[in-house]
Amino acid sequence: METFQIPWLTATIVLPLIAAIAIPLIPDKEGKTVRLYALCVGLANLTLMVYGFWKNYSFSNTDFQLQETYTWIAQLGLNWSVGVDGLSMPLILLSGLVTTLAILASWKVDRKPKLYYALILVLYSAQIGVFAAQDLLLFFLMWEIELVPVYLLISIWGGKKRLYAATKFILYTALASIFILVAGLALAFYGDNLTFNIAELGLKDYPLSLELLAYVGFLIAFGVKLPIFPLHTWLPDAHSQASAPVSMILAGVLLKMGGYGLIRFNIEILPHAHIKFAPLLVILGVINIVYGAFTAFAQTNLKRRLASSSISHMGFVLIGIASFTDLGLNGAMLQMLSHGLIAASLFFLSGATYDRTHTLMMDEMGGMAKTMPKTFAMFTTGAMASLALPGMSGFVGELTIFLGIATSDVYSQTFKVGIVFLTAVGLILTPIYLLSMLREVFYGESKVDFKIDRFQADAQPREIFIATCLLLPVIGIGLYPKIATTTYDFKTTEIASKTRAALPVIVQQQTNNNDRAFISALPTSGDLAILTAPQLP
Amino acid sequence: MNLAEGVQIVSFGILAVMMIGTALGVVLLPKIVHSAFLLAGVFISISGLYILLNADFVAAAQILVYVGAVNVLILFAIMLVNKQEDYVELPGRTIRKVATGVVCFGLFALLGTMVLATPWSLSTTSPSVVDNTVIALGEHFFSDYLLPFELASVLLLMAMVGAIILARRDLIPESMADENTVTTGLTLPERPRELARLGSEEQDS
Amino acid sequence: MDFSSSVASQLHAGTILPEGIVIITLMTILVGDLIFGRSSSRWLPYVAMFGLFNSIVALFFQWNNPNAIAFLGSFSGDNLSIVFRGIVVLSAMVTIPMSIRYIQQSGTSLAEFIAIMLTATTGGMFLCGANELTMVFISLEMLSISSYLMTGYMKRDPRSNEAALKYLLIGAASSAIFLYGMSLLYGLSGGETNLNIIATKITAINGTQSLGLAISLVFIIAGIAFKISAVPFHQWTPDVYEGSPTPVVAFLSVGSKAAGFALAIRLLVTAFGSMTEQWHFIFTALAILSMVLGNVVALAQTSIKRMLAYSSIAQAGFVMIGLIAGTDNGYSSMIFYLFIYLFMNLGAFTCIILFSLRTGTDQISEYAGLYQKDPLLTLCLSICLLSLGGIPPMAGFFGKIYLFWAGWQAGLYGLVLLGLITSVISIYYYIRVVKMMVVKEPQEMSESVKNYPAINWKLAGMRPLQASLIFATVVTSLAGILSNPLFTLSANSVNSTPILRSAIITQEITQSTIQVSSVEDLIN
Repeated sequence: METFQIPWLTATIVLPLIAAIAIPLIPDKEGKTVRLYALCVGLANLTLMVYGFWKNYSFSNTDFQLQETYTWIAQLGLNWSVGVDGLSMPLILLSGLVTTLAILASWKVDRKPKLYYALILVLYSAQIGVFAAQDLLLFFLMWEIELVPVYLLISIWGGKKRLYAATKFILYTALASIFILVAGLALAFYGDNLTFNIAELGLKDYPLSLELLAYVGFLIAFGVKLPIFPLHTWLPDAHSQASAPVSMILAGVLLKMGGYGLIRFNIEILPHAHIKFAPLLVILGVINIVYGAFTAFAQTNLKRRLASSSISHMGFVLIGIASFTDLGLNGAMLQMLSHGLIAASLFFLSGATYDRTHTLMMDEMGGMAKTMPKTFAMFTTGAMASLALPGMSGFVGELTIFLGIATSDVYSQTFKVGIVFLTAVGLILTPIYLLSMLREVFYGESKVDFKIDRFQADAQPREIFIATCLLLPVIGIGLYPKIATTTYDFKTTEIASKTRAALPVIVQQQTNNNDRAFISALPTSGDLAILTAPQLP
Repeated sequence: MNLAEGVQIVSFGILAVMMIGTALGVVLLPKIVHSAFLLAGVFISISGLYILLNADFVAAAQILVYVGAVNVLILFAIMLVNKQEDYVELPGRTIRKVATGVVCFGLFALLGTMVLATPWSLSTTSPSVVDNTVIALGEHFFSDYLLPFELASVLLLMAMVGAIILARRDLIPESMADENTVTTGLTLPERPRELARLGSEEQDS
Repeated sequence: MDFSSSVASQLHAGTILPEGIVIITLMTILVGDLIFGRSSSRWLPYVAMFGLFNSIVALFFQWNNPNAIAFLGSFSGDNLSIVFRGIVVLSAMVTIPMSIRYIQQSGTSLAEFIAIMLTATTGGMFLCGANELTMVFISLEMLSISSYLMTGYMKRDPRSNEAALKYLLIGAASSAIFLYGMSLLYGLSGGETNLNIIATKITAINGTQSLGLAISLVFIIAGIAFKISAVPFHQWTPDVYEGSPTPVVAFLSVGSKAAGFALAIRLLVTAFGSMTEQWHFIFTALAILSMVLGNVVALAQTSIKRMLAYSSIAQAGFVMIGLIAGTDNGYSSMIFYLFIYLFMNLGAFTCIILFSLRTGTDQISEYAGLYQKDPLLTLCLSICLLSLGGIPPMAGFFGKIYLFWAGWQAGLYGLVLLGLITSVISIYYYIRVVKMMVVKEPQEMSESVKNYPAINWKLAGMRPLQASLIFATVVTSLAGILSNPLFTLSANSVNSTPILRSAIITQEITQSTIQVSSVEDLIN
């Protein structure tokens, strides 16, 4: 029985794009109509996707759902092929929520409003497109579409050093995205059938060397986005220079693209290389956590501190990804979701603070708890969630990852102990810098030359609404994690079991094979662990 | 070697020496008029070579076109311009000369090797078979070389139009001058100043 | 024997109908200008566009022409040449509306300008189909001489004069080198001028290794590389682009380049079919140099015309990847990219013309803050530049992806990687202009933007400019998303062209052996 299927995903991807194209036609000089229009489009799209998932999405199914495939350009093998599974569905919802709230958060944008909202809407489309794409070329296309809007959003509505930050952002990301294409082409052309379909790419049998090379390519591309330690330098600049709503999207959604890409491509398509690289990922994750925490200390700029804390938090995702357990992978997803919400709320609140104080330097602020108690309360909630207070989603995510890595049977005991210990150091640092941030900004005496102007008052209902929308799910997930985990549980379990299935194969290969050169060239500790691990099935 | 071949070789030698000598003269002599006259010598020697190759029509055309027209035009141009200019020595001239010489010699050596090394496939048709080269050329022009031949006419037409455009004086239409005075924002700086001035002067007078 | 009738039956003169239409249009314009004088400049451009349009229609009906070889082998009307001729005509057709206002503004005569441009178009079209050495040279000269004339058309502008002189001198030198190469080819093949016969005779006489053949190849490539302005034969490009009238630059960068690529494919694939490896090697070097130098030097430019000159050098480097790939997809990606490039580059040049008409400058810094004054122009220029940089969903992205895709398929991994890296560099300088226009605050506006005249489309010659601007922008933004017909067209033209068929089959045999061995290397 062939009935007409409503193309939910295509609709959610295309709607904001078309709405953005229509913006120049809106007769409006002040920007009042445009913002209402953009908000309506955002809400409509959010409703559309929620309703679409509600009606058609089954949590227990690990396959792609709501699939739509149309041949776009046959010669290239490019298909408009979208679908969601447990990995992408929650992230699509997250990007819908965060972007819609970002539109609401940018209510006060008065410069070039039409361009602003058009770019945000294009960005909206691109985010959903990245998460929904099932075709590697389509994924790359969506990935690239997102570049220019973000560049312009940072460089027009950003802070003082916005041009530098924006240029750095676009060069890093554009250079890194080359590797997606190159690795993708290499994988697609391997073997007899040329395909860019992600699921079909996963079924191909690649030689190990090709897998390793492609893995490195993807790792660089997504490592820039996530960001992973040596590739992270664009992030503090971009996040701190962007205006608050843009930072919300940057921290809330765009970083998750990196994590999503790592799971989708590096683990799902290249499980054998993942086994080789996993120890490196764990180590990089630990470096991220500790390095991010330490740099956060050194920042006097509020948003830079939040940006550094993002680096630190994304380190957990890396560890979770590399843990080889369903718990760890589960935790990585949860951490991405919860960080998306928490970071968005914190960046939004820092923006709200900036609107009143016109400074982001923490040493110039102080004693604001008195004048703006509501903001203070929300900020504290966000910070608590970020430092993983039990009862908040950050705690659940990080705890699950800890459990995942601790119960992982692929790493040697000493390696795990070391990792957990170092991560714990990062965990201890997090409350220190976040609480000291709160202290510097909200407690103490007001500085002499410091005045709060323009709004004269505490948070407006609009701002309270935005923060609540972001923080309520955080607390909800913290109290009852299942609301988040049910959406992807089956999928992560499946992926974890798949990677584990690849484990014995690779060990066998290593012992039988004579490509010792590769083993010695790779990160050592984990490899040894894999080779010597007695627990291996 | 019979008499004909001997004559051929001797005349080739004479023509070659003549050609190289006059060509050197064109480049080396300080007076440009001398160079121009020697250029005619080069052209005439080339046409001699054509005759040796049994290409009588091309030889005639060479003399008519190059010596009769091109070279005379060059002489006219030289006489009309008649401007003395002191020759300024470029700094580092010797290095340039040496470098050019090396490059040229290298190229010559390469081409010379190539000419000697390549087994050229010579035409087997005896010249006596083609009794009239003009007819042979004409047949080619109206059969397999018809398209290039016809196309050359369009090319020549356009070259003529182009020459006229370059040579004639521009007249600025009144309407344009008016428009320029009204909307100053629309003037092109890519258009030099004297053009605008010329336009206003014409209006004044 | 009746000579004339026997020849006439073999001519298949209908094959050059599109060129005939252009020549008739050219005559109409020259004569019309003579008869009606200055006043004719109001309708002459439309006559020219109508003629060019008819020529495209005629080309369309020639698709799959059974009598492809016309004029006893002088001219080949196969599908490859039809596609390239289409690109040349189309570029002239888009260039003419943008030049009307520009030429009138500079106080020169429009009719002659259009006539010269039509001659250049005819030359370019014949070059795309030329199948014989004499024909190649005559059409090449036709294209070149008209280009010199157009470059120097603003004869009161010293920069235009300088550009024309430089172009003429370097162009004449490169023609001479090209001609020398052709004469060697003529000699080596035992006095043949038809490319197909040369191909068979040369291998029969010389084998595949011959110093003469190698020198002839190098000389001929030098001539072609001059036309497509590949590094190191690019020195004329920036100066000529900067000095000559902008519509001319637009035509040179697209029409003339497309004709050059058509010539390259035909000459190299047929006459030098036995030396495929050698010319692939030379073109690889040219492509690497063009991509690197073009993109890197473009970073430092302050004049937008110079920047686009270097960008066009770089773009030629990208297109060469398709040529080097030498596969079905390689050639069709070249054609596809040239189509896309036509619209995006001409769109960008239209914007530049419009801006210089209104402000009189082409410095990048003068574009600061244009968004406030002229959103339409900003939008169009941004779209075209981003498309040139390969940002999706603009057409340029699809063109580049196809080129890199084809290159990767043919195993040119290093070249593709270099192309990708340099195209990221190119994003930087394209987006610099966008940044200049969009990001700058009202107080940072440049002088010329502050004095920006009120937007008035009613002035004579502005409407066609606007039409061509919007046309190019719309095509640039949609041709990528809806690119299936273009893909099919370029693939069909390659698939149904006999000279490429035979070349690709031999290519594939060697390719597959190489690929097998390289995969084996990878595994071991």
